Amino acid sequence: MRRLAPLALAGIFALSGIAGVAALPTTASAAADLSIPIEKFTLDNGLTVVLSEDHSAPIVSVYITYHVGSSQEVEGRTGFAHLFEHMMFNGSKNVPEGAFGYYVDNTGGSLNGNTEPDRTNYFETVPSNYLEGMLFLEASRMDSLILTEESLGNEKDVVKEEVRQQQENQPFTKTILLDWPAAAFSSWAYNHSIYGSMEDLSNAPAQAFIDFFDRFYTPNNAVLSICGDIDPAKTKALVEKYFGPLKKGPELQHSFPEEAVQTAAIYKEVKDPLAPVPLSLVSFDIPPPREKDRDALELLATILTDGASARLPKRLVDEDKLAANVVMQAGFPIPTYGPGQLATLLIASKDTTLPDLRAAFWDELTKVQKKGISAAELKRAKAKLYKEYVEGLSKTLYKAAQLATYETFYGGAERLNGDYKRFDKITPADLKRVANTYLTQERSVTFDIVPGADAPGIPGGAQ
Amino acid sequence: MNGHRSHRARGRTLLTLLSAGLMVASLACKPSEPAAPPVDPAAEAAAKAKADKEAAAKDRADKAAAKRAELAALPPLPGVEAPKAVDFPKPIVSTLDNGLEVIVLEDHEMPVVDISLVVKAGNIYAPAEHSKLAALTANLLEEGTKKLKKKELDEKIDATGGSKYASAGDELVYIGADVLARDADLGMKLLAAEATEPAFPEDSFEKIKRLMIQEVASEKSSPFGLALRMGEHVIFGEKSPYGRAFPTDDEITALTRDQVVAFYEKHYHPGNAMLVIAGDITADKAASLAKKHFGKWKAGEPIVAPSGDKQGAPTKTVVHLVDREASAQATIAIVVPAPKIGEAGYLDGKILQALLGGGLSGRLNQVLREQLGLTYGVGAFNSYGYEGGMFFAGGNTKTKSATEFTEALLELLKEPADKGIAGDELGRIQSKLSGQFALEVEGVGVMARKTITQRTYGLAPDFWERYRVDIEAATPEQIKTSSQALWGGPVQIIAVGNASKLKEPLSAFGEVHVYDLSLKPKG
Repeated sequence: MRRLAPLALAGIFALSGIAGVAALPTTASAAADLSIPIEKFTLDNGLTVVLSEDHSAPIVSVYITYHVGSSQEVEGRTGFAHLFEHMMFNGSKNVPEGAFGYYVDNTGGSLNGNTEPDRTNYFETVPSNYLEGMLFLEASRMDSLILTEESLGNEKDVVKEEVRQQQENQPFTKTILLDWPAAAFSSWAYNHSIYGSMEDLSNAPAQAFIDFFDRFYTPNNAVLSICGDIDPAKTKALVEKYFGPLKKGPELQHSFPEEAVQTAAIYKEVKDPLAPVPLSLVSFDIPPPREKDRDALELLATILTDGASARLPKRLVDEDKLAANVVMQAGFPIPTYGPGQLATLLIASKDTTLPDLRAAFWDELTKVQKKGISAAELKRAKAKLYKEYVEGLSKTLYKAAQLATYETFYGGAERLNGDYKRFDKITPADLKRVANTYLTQERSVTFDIVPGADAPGIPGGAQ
Repeated sequence: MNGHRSHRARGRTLLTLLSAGLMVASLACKPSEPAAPPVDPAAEAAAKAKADKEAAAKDRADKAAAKRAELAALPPLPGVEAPKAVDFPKPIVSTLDNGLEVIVLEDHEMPVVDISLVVKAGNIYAPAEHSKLAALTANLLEEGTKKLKKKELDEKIDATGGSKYASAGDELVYIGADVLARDADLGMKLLAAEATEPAFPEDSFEKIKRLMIQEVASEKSSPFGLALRMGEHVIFGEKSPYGRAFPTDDEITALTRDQVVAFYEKHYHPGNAMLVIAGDITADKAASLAKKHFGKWKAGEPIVAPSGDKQGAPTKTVVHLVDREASAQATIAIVVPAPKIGEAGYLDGKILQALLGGGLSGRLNQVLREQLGLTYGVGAFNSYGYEGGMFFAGGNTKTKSATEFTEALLELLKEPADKGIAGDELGRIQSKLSGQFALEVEGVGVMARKTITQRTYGLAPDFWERYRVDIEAATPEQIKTSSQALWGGPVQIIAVGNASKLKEPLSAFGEVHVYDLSLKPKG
């Protein structure tokens, strides 16, 4: 637990409706069960606000999640959510073009944004004496954005350059970010590129972007999370001052796309002229985050790959020396909050062929499916997840991000405290069951990426 | 960007009309004089190209200056309060009988402890012909100790939920464990075993060497990795341990266990290392754990860092072009020698880095990204080692825009040297760097690294405490002088991309040297 006055903390817990937490432990290391203060309120216009006070460093993170991502786009109008990730830094009614970045940079702070299929996030971390300024800037761009043919045109060009840099000039990324989601997800909402089609972007008139903004970038479609060196009462008043006057947007019903259960393995080999080594990406359809089977799969991924003693690095890297590295993660590389994917990256070691590497990988999965895992392995995985939880509470920005995620998708920010305990009820039998249900050949998508020059054309490629 | 392009096109048209008009006027005034000697069409074209280029450069600079003035005139953000003090935790230093320095940074916010043993045994200490010897030695530390096999080490640390690592940087090898506070004893025990009694098992050599060969391949596959290594190669020179080209696969394969053991025996001893313990642990407890696990580590002979092979500053501008045929873009960077940390001018370099490359508001992004739409992002940084530093500024652009990008980048870098920097702009940057420092001190791991830097480079004990005051003390004149020292002379241009498309256009900036992906001269 971070340093906080016990009374203030008790008050915040009372506000947040968390029962059973009366006072702080006296020292951090004595805290058996770490938690953070969480206060939550909603403005009349529907903006949900989450505050977490923490005076350990004189800094504050302001984090806004808009419940809009590439999955809300429609065919022929793709790339909008990501283009807004650019436009939101460009200029609004009270903040001229170029001023947003200028103001934040001048504080010495950092800013960024990111786009996913189900949401877009915008955030700043600054010295805490600039809190009011950040609320002014965020409210201003939620209220209005400069969306003209000229300003959009400039950012469309920057996006094209971003695509060229990230997808076409780096090894592996084109396959992982473009080809793989197209094959792994069945719904159009999830399987089209987050960057969108450059043709759609070029064709769309400014009015289409204005309509998109008016529909989705509204107080009632957003969560504002503020963490760090703040006075909650004062912060609440500032939030009211800047966000209170903003008009409520249309009521939106959010749902996640449905993904068909895959019934036959998909395999593709891709040649990548930029790849330094062969890499295999093997993924599986899995349920949405926080469902019991998903939790079991996340524990299983930890057992299989987290730490040098985990099964896959031990076998593939240390014993058989077939791989240089193995990564397995749920919600990776494209995070979704509806049905998701568990992806494994198998990076071949020198002179290893991908079929040999994949054979050893499948052999390990078969062992889990037949014999299950040991209680010691499960305990170790739970220890890793606990450590991750503790670390997650130690960085202001990461904490703000988690609170926004919990509020937007997981039924409330207050659920973050102690949430690692949900893994306690998972048993070795659960892990064996999910391995047999989900990690099967039929549900798998495999991309073998091998170094080679005869790539089947790079869209918009070398100039 | 579209607006800018049309403006530039208009500029060129006006210039052409103006030249034509002048020519007509001049002919009209002197009809009776003998005919002028025939005009050399090539010289005329060159003169026109030069005039066009100058007009375009002026246009860029005027627009950028107008934008800067517009931003500078913005009202202040509402409600800005006085900055709060930044508490810099005091390192508590003690020395074990065997000479090992133990540095403790207490921070009880979260129940975690970050333990690092740093040893002056990084890549610069490896001989040129075995440039990966230091890295191989460091990587093998985790492969097992005299008492514990790798599998046992891994299982023990993983059971706590914690993690450990060992890797070599330029000067230092970092051997670390990151654990919950309750596991500090075990973390330090495993770390000490790896550092003080490694087994260097024969059967791990092939695996680690193969991984290292792949790491080199990976670095060579990244345009930025290539540009950075090329920059160091030309700034420090191939004879410097900071400027080496990539090692060959054979060079890595040929390394032997005897070489590793000899390198280890010479460099890994308490007098050549520091133990830094940061986090939820008291100084007394940390010191007693250090004594328990490192007290019996045998002392050795002092080590002197290799030096003296750094080449002199380059005397002419050269384009160093790394031929990466499959590139979809050009990566362009401009590099110059710079002061290292602690030297006069280093903090001015930090100010220039913030002025030019600092995020979206930095001059480079304002012009190259926002005004000209030439790049997704561009940045600047200064890196340093014992032999000095390098200022690196660059980014990616379309291959066909490489010339325009390079021209604009050069102008932006040289502008503070030519025109200086206004007092209010300097004030803005100073306040920015001061705020940045407040952010950097979040997390005890960062503080530990700053302490290691202070001690590794022999900085004043209060270097970090004074950092904000020293940054605030810089004057516009001082920044102009430092800018002139950086960019007043020849610069080195690094390009990574398809040489067949880049060589000719980039020759406008100087002699072009083409290299292959191993940075060996080509053709």
